[in-house]
Amino acid sequence: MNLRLGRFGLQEGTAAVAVAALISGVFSLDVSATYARGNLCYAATAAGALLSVLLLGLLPKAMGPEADLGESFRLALGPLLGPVVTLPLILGLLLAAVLPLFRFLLAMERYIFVDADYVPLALYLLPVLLLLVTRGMECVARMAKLLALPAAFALGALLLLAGPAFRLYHLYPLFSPGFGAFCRQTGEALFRFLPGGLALIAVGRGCQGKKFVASGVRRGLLLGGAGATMVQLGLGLTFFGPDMAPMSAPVYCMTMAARQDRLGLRLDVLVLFLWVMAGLAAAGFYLYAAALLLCRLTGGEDIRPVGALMGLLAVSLALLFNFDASVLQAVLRAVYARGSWLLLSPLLFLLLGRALTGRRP
Amino acid sequence: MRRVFLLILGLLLALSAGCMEGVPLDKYCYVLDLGIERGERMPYRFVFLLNRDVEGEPGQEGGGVSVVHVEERSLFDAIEALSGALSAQLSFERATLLAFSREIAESGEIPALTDGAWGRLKIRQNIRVIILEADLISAFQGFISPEDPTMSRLKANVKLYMDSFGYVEDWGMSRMREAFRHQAGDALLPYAALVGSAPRADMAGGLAYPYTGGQLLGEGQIKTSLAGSAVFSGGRMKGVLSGQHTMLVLMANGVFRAGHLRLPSSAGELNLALYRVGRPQRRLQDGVFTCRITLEADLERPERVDLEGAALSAEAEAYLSAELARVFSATAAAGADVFFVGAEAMGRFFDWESWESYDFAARLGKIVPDFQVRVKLSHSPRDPALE
Amino acid sequence: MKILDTIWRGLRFCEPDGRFELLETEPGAPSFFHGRKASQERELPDERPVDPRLKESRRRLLSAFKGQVNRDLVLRAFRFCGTVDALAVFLSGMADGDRISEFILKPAQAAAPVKKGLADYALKTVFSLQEAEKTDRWAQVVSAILEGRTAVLLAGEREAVLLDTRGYACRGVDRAQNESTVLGPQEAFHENLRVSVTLLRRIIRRADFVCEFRPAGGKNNVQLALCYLGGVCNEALLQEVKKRLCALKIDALLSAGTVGQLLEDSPRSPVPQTLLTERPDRAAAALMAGKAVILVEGSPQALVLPVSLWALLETPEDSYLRRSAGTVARLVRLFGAAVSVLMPAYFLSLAYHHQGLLSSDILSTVISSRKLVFLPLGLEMIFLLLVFQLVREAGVRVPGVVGQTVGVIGGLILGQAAVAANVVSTVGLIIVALTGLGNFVIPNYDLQLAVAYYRVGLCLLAVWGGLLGLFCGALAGLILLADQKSFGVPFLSPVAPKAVAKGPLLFGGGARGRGTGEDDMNPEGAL
Repeated sequence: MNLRLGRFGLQEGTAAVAVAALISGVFSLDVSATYARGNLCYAATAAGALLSVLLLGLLPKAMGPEADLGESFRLALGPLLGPVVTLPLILGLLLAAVLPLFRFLLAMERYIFVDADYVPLALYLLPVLLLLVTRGMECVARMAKLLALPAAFALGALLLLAGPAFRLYHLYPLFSPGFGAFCRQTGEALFRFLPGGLALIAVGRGCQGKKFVASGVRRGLLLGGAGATMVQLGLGLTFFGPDMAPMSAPVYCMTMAARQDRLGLRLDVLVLFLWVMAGLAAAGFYLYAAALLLCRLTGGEDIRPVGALMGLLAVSLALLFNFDASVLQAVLRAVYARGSWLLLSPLLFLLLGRALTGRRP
Repeated sequence: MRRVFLLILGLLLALSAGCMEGVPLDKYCYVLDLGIERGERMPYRFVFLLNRDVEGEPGQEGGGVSVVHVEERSLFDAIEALSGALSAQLSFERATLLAFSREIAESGEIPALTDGAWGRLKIRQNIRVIILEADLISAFQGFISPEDPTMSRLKANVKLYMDSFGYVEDWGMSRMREAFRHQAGDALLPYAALVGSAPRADMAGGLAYPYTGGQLLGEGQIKTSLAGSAVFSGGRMKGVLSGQHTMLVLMANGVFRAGHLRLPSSAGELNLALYRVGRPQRRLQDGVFTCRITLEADLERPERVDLEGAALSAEAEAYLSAELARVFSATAAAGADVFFVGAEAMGRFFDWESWESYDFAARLGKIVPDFQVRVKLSHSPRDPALE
Repeated sequence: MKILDTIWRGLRFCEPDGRFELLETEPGAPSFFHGRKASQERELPDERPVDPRLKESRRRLLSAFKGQVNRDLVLRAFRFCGTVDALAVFLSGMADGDRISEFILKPAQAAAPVKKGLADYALKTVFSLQEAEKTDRWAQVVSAILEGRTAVLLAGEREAVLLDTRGYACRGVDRAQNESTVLGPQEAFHENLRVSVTLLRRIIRRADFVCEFRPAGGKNNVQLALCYLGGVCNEALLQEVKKRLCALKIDALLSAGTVGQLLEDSPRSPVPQTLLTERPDRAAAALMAGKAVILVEGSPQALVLPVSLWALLETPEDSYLRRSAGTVARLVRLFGAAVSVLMPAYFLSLAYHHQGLLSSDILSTVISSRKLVFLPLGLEMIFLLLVFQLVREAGVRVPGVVGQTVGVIGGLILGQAAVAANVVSTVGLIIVALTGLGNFVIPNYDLQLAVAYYRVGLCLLAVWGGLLGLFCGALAGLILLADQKSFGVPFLSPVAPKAVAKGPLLFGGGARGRGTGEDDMNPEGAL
């Protein structure tokens, strides 16, 4: 067996979840729909993160002591339904990796490499992603830990650079676009935070115990959620909501909102690439978890071809979503709006199955 | 065998990734400053300050920079025209100043000029924006001095005037565009004029510009200097405020840091050094805009002033409150919300559509200002501290 | 006629080549890409016992040592106790003749005769050397002779007596040449294995300090010593090391560095996974931390394993510096290493793709310095980096003062001339010079070389892909480092994964800052 799960500690697991939650919380949202009629995204982000912590807090209780998500599905739902229910979860993790990559490609093509095409940009990201996924979870977890500090620096630099442009009136009208939109956005926010926690639970065997997995999920989601909320709040204080709707990457534009003269503060490009690196770690984490679940489902013994395939698929989808075809755009909008159901439904099935059958591995 | 195959695949990937159209920096001609004014034969004249001597181009050479101008319909057409005439590719990545002539500003064409595909030129969103009184070619040439070919002194002056003297506010393009689009507040862009221009009363009356602090612009190496602020209503320039009036607006908006104030009193002209301005308390209720400002100041040359501290403070407070009200009325009458009262009004709405449909600009002129200024003098004029 | 003959021979071109040719002796044809498969036959160990007949022993020795032509082998026949025929066998030059005469031949000839148990009698009563043993295995007799010991064969006895008479010429304990320090001890390891082990024993005076002597595995039959603290070093680690040592098969094993390369987890990785040191104090510190140290006969360096990247970035002086000085030194070193890896590529990425991040003054300076330079900027930088490596290698190969002069000539004169001739620009030269300085602060030579060629790759990525290429290249390197292990210990620990660090990584230091064990080594007991 060459699933390369390895062993990693609580710090690495927490870092993986935190980086994933931060990246998805900031970059995996439909900018044009979220900000078009005002900005309640910061509140929805915080609510989504907290809700994810609550939901995922129930999950370890439904699982056995070894914290194997795939096995838990099989035991709770039976040998037929269990694997079927795992499929949307795998798809959800794959899409969770696609969305930040899509946003990064868009931002780089729009703001940095204006004369380049999407494909060469993606071809720089692809080998790194493949390398990361095929090296296994130990490598992914260590990279997440190493990149957590640059991600935190990017977050701090972003808020410092944009700080002089913060105005409270940018959040006005405060309750626009309304409570209904807030609930909808909170539901969409679940798709930004659930994947990080679920991915850690999926690879939980390597984290040396259910207690560490639960702790890692909780801390990681709280840290990542807090960071994403700060970024969204910073965005809200920097721009009016409708001004952000047509932007390709509001987070990038935020670094250039305030007037500043010092050359040392021209950090917009550097900050974006720090985000990209952290995003690759997050994408690698999601893809590894998806590949592991797929291997467990199909009885595969080597994670490397499956992981490589997942990586290739993710980058290809990220490229496709950048094209203007209406079908692809419709699919993308559906993913943003309904993607959380891909992750919620397996969880609900698992909890239901556990409650009905009482079977626990 | 697998390793060889993977290596070949990796090499193919690497070769397919390719170059991102990178051009080395010595193959570019960098635009340091960009100006737009009315053209004689074409709608616009685009004036570029380039970072290199360009032989054979119209313009004045000085210290490694050149001023080049082209008349065209749009910036992209101008770039196309200029690219054919230059030996290097134009790059806007180092552009740090965007200047518009007064005529263009008053015609309301700035929003149309700056919206669109400027992002593809990699012009930074926070590029500084100023309005120039003179024709841009003379103004740009007036910026250049042999010791300061890249005009960094002027740009530093904007910062200096904002931080130390409070006479102008530093505006970037993204903030300017936001002010054009929304009703939260209007732009108050730095305004520059040539040294030697005749003084005129500003739109609030009383104080003259182009004297930023109320004094004559000094003759020096730089022939173009800051003269006050250009007041906008939406995307159209409505008038000019002197440096001192701009300072009052900045105080009311809470962005004033430090500066000097000159005001008349019964004991003669007072010069106050302002070093701490508290955050103003602003409120809009029942059509009245209330703004409470607290200043801490030092009196310059107190031995020349024959007045008690309390009386002095009272006179200063009354003068400042009246001046603020005058500036507010003048700008509101022109439809310019430089005091950002719209931002206060916005907080009362619950959704974006109702705010957008509410015509705040039409109601601005009816708002009654109530400025309450409190001046705390550090030292009494009869008892100056011996330090 | 003679003249005609000479002319005719000159015109004919018919003389044979006459040069010596080393012809292929192996049967069969090799494959297109690879050579022939290595012979799977293994040399069977010599299991013969010691023969009681001296004539047979003599014949075996002459055959094994090619005694007819190999004059080093000395077969000294004498009479043990005046009655029994005996043979003292040793290699001239390896064995000390005076000791043989004084402690073997004299007492042997003067000893009182006994009837039986000659070997035992000789060992316990006659020979007065401190190290002596008996053996009945012929392979051990040959091995002992090769080590410089003397084998005494007694007629009629099935056991030979092996006596330690090593006395070959070697140098004294010298100062460390490549790891010199201001503070701390100045001794360096020695080619003689015993001397090296003694140097360690002088520092670690513990009963559980174990030195296992074993054949190194090369066909040149040198010994190596595997040293560790028995109660501290992880047993699983030791078993793994021994397993790998047993699997060593190489023709000539001449240095500890070769052993390191053969034992590594990832031989293809440019980064070393073992540490070579010539300082006993550094090796002793590693032993105390629960690591294993391998010493090889004939190599004045010790191989420390496992290691992490941080261990490779430490200098011997770090242990002796105070907290503040140590912190500053470490920070400067890390900064230098970072500059060395990233600066040329960062400059190229900004110059080609992100000029907005450079100030107008720097832009003007670079543009004016590159006037008339015909090489493109990227090529110029890579050219300079390679020339720097050239100058460095030339300086290392040329000995003594001339080597230092090469550096001066290459650095100053060549650089100046290249700028004057518009081959390169001053800015490029300065960047490469700073890069080179940063490279030299990396203490480990293997790591320096790895970094030197890695940054050329980063430069290419920076030219092609700007900061995206640079960051992706750096990330790929980081991934490979994070995935790498050294004998099961992650290469980036204790940073990733987290572990309790014995010494400080960045801040802190001094004697008070040191912990009690290397957590990532999983030592058996706390020190």
